[in-house]
Order: sequence, then C-alpha cells, then structure tokens
Amino acid sequence: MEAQAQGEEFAVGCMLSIKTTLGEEFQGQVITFDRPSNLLVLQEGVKSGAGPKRNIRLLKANYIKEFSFLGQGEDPLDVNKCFLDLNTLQAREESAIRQAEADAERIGVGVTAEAQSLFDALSKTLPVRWDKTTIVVMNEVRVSSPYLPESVTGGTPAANERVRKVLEFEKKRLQSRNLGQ
Amino acid sequence: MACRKGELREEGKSRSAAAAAAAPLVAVGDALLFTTMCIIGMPVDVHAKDGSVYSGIFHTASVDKDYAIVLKKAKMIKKGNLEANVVNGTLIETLIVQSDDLVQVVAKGVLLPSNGITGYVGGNSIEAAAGYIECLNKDSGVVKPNESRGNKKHKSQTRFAAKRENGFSHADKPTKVLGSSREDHNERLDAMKLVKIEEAHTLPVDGRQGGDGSPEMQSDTHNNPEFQDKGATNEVQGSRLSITTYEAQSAPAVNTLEDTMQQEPKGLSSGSNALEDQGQDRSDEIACTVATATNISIASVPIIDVKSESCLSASSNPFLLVPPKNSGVKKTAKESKLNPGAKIFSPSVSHHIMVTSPAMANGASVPYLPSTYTMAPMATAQEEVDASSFAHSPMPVKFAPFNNVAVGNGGSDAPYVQPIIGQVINRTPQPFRYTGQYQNFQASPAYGHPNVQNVMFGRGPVVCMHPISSDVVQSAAGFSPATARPLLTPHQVHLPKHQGTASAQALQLCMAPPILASGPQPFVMPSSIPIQQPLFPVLRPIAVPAANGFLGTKFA
Repeated sequence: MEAQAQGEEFAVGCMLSIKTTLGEEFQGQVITFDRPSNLLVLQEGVKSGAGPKRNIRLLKANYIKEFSFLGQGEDPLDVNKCFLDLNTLQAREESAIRQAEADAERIGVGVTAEAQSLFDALSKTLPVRWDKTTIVVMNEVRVSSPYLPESVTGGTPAANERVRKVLEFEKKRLQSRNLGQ
Repeated sequence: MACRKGELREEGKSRSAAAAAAAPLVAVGDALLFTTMCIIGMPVDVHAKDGSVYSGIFHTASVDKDYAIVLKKAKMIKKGNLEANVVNGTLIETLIVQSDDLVQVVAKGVLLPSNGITGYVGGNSIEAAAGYIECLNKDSGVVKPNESRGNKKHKSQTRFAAKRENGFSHADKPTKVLGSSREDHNERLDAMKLVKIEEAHTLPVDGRQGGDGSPEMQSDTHNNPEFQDKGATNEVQGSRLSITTYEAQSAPAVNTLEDTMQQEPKGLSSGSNALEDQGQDRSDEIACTVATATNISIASVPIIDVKSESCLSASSNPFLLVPPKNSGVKKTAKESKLNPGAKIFSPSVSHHIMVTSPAMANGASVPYLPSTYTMAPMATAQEEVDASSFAHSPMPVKFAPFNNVAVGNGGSDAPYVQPIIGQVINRTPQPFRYTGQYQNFQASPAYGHPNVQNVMFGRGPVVCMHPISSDVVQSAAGFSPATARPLLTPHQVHLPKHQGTASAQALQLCMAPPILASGPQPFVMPSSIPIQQPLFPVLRPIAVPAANGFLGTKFA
C-alpha cells in the first residue's frame, strides 16, 4: 500500500486477485485507478462469461491488504463507446427508489424471521401489508403475533377462513423446509 | 499490478488522447467519473471503514478532490465495529458516506457501455417506453385528426396501454392523468364535431363499399390499428354527438364522454385518415345531416360505443347493459369494411338497426324503430340515412354502452380491454352481469361467423323481440357468467385465425351479428354460443330479442 501511495498505479486491464484489510477477497480487472481519490475501479466476472453484466467495485487502494497479478487484459473501457444518457440514469434511479420503497414496505419492523417469511408467503397469493407487527390481509383480516391460525381476526367469515387456511399451510411448509434443512 | 505513473499515462494516451489529456486536469479521472455515472441508480453495497456495510441506491458522488458518495434508501446490512448513528434494519432516506469512511463500493449487475451495445440499447428501450407514454398523452390530448395521423404508428403500439388506461379511467375518472386533456378534447371535439361526424358517416360507408377489411383484419398491428381507428372514429363521432346533445344533461355523462373522447382521439387519427378520402365525398351530405338530430343518429352507432365507455365509468347498470350493442355496432362497421359483399347484405344496416333498437329501449320512441328497420333494408348505400333515423333515438346513455363494447372489439386488443371493463363493472352493483356481458360480447364476435345472415335475422327478430327482450334479459343475467368465459377464449382465438384467412371477413361479419344480438343479451346467446356453429341459428333469434329486451329493461 505504501508503494502505491507514493505514486505507483495500477495498470488498466490487469487481472488482479485482491485481499482487503476487511478480509474480503475477490478477483477483478482494473478499469481505472484514480490517483486523486486513490480509488481503484475494478470489474468482476470478466472471465466467468456471465454475460455483459459485471460487478463494479470502487475500492480505496489503501485498504488493499495484498494482491496478486493474474494476467493482463484489454482495456475494458472503450472511449468510443462511452455513452451515457442522463435521462436513462434518472429513470433508472427513480425506478430503483420506487422499488426500494415498495420493498421496504414489505419488511416488517420488529418482527421475527418467521413472521416475515409468513408475510412473504401470504403475499404470493393475497394482498398483504404490515401494520406494525400485524399482518393485514386484504385490508380486513388481521394476523397478529404469534401468527397462529387462532390469531387470525376480522374480515368476512370466508376471508377469515381463507387466511387461516393459507396461514396453516404456509406454517407447515416452512416447518417442513426447516426440518429438511 | 503496479506500474509507474508515467507508463500509465502513456497507456492512457494510446487509449484515448482526450482521456489522457483531460485526466491530469480533472480532480477525478474521466474513467472514474464515467464508471461512477454508470452505477447511478444501481443498488450498491458500500463498505465503510469500520467494517459496516450499507446497501442502497447509488445517488451521486462528490468528485471534488475527495470521493464521497450519497446513497438513497440505504440501510445497514452489516454492522461495523464502531458505533454509528445508523440503526441496523431501518431505512435511511439519504446516506452520505464521506471519503474518509469509504472503503469500497460494490455495484452488482452493471452494464458498462463499453461491454457492448447492450447497455446502449437498454437506454434506448427506456426512452422508447417514455415515448410511449408521451404518445399516449398525445393521443388523449390530440383531438385533431391530422395530429393523430402523425402518431399513427405510435398509436398502434400505445393502444393497448391507452385502452387499459381508458378502462381504468372508467373506474377512476379523476385519478387519470388524461383527465385534464379530456376537457380540451371535448372542446375541440365540439368544434370538430361536424367534421368528425361527417367522417364517421363516411367511415361506415367506406367499409361497406370498400370491402378492403379483410387485409386489415389479417395484419394485427398495422391493419388492426386502422380497424380500431375506424371503430374509434365512429366512437369519437358518436361521443361528439352525444356530447353536444347531452352536455347539459348530466355531468357524469359528460365525464363518460370525455373518457370516450380520449379513446376516440386514438382511433380518430387513423380512422380519420382512412375516412377522409372517402368521407369527403359524402361529407357534404353528412354535414347537413349532422346539424340536425339525424346527424346524431348517424353517429349513434359510434356514439353508442363512446357512451358505453362512459357507462363503464358511470358504472350504471343501464350503461353496462348497453355496451354489448356498441361492440356489435363497431363490429358491423368493421365487417362492412372487411367484406365488400357484406355491403350487399347490409349487415351494417342491420347493425344500425340493432343500435336503434337499443335507442328505442332507452326511451326513444317506438316510431323510430320502424324507420330503422326500413333503413336496414335500404342497405349500405343508405346507411347514413338509417343512421340518421336512428339518431332520432337520442340515447346518449344507451349509446355509451355500445361504445364500451366497441372499444373492446376494436382491436385484437379488445379482449384485454373488455376484461378490464368487466372488472370495473364488477365493482358496480351488478358485477357478474356486466362481466358476463362483456365476455359474451367478445365471444360473440368470434362466433359471429355465421355472417351477415345472422345480422339479417337480427333485424327481423329485433322487431319482434321487443316483447321478448325483457325476458331474455333476465335469463341473460344467469347465463352470462358461464357463457362469457368460454366465449372469451374462443373469441380471441378465432380472431387471429380469421385474420389470417379470407374467412376473416366472414368472421368479422359474424362477429357483428352476435354483437347485435348480444347488445343487450349477448349473454343469453353465449349459452348457445359455446356450441358455436349450431349457435348461429339460436343466436339469431335469441340475440335480437335479447338485445331489445335488454335495452328496454335497462332503460326502463
């Protein structure tokens, strides 16, 4: 690390195996090394042929514990192909944020893992949401802790019965899965 | 590997003179800047100095000297060995990771443009998607046929979405974005009403005369748009007419009309194009009629379609019932276009009759019906006249139901639309019936193959039917659910087939007849429809009465 800090840089296109000071180890190809920020930009998955999608890592060079040289590759960035569409980026971010918000609503706060898995299972067939630690199904049937069929309340008898059955089934399924593991 | 800085510079020059030249001058290298921008909006994991890991959406980065980043919707997924002001598990709206704390940023599944065109293509697709939305807005907003023409291609693509929107809009009028444009459309439409009406008149006529419908049917995307457009034009015209006549009557009606109007613009653009040529000849005559009630009547068929949509929005029972008729009307128009021979049969006329009958039911005077019947015999040539006669039956409401159906039928898309409508309807008090009817309608077209003859029967039966109709309607309610589903599937399937072959024309024709019959009692028919071919005979007698009855009952 000391050597790099003193002016050595990583050559673009190098395939490196890197160990970080946090104990992480990975392999990647150097996209660039940015001197001012001391950031090494790498891409993973070049060799695996996992398609055009890569994992990009921006790693502070001073957190590299050790690395080894695996080979030299082509410069991964072709300047002639470096196009960016700001609208696309904005749209992507907006959709990602929306998705994150939607996902966040699906995560119960302060609930057990079992409750969350029950929630996820119920959500596959019924519209569900969290009301604190209570699962609300179809906006009328409430399943509160400990999420047993007996704890299903509210809703029309048919809906109530339906939720109970699904809950029972999912509980069994989760149990069997756990036993299987 | 490490190498001397000078070497890197040389390499950079070989890569790109621009990049090499710029790199030393910028606080952060171009490549890093580019990479940073590539991961904007991507979910990333950020490792901090204390070992904690935060997951969030990469929002932006500071590239001035220090490289700090901003995450959106971040949450800690791994706790570090230092106390942080972030609670594990909670969602942080915006998280700033200072350069000092930053160890690593990991973005997974990134498409680097340099890795191929894929990244770029992805961008294009996004833009295209945005374009669709814009097109939709335009369609909804643009009333003028000329503009719509320009957007034809887009329309074909967007129609699906537009239709869906329409269906949704019916359910929730105020919520839709289109709403604002609707008013404008209406105004414009009013202004253009005369012209449009003329066009509409011409359209049906053209279809009958031209007999070029078969090719249209065959090609779903290109041709169908025209089909739909024509149907849409009819609808639009009708809506316009209805709007003019009914504006004062009720706000809800206006809303419905507006909804229909939105849909109409789409169809209008294409339909107007086709119509213009043919329509111009007759436009003069039509224009005169338009001014009067007769004009309205002409539009009545199209109007019906429009109103049907409005009905959906209104979710009123009568409207719902009506929709089937509308589909029938549209179908008839289409059929006429498709089958040149159909003109002779004057299926369109029969359709018109059907429409009129509904109108009658709506409260239109009985006398009108006779006139319509006579008109039917008149055949395609005098369809306009017939229409005018029908127009007398100022049944804006009734027409509206027709509109709904028509919309659904309009394209291959129609099936989709109809289901949506059905759902909307379901919300209403009589969900089952509505759905069943819609479905029936769809199915009915497919079965319709029997052709013009069915239509013909429809005419005769229609007259007789009036008494029967009420009974039929009742029965229809029961039957509708069962029949509807079966019909739907067959209907969809049939359409493609028909399109492919010459038979398509016949099918289309057939479709129309069912519609007529179905208008009110399509459902009743459907029970028989499953049989399909055998159904024809059954359909004919039943359908006609049913329709009349439906209208009468509903309107009553």
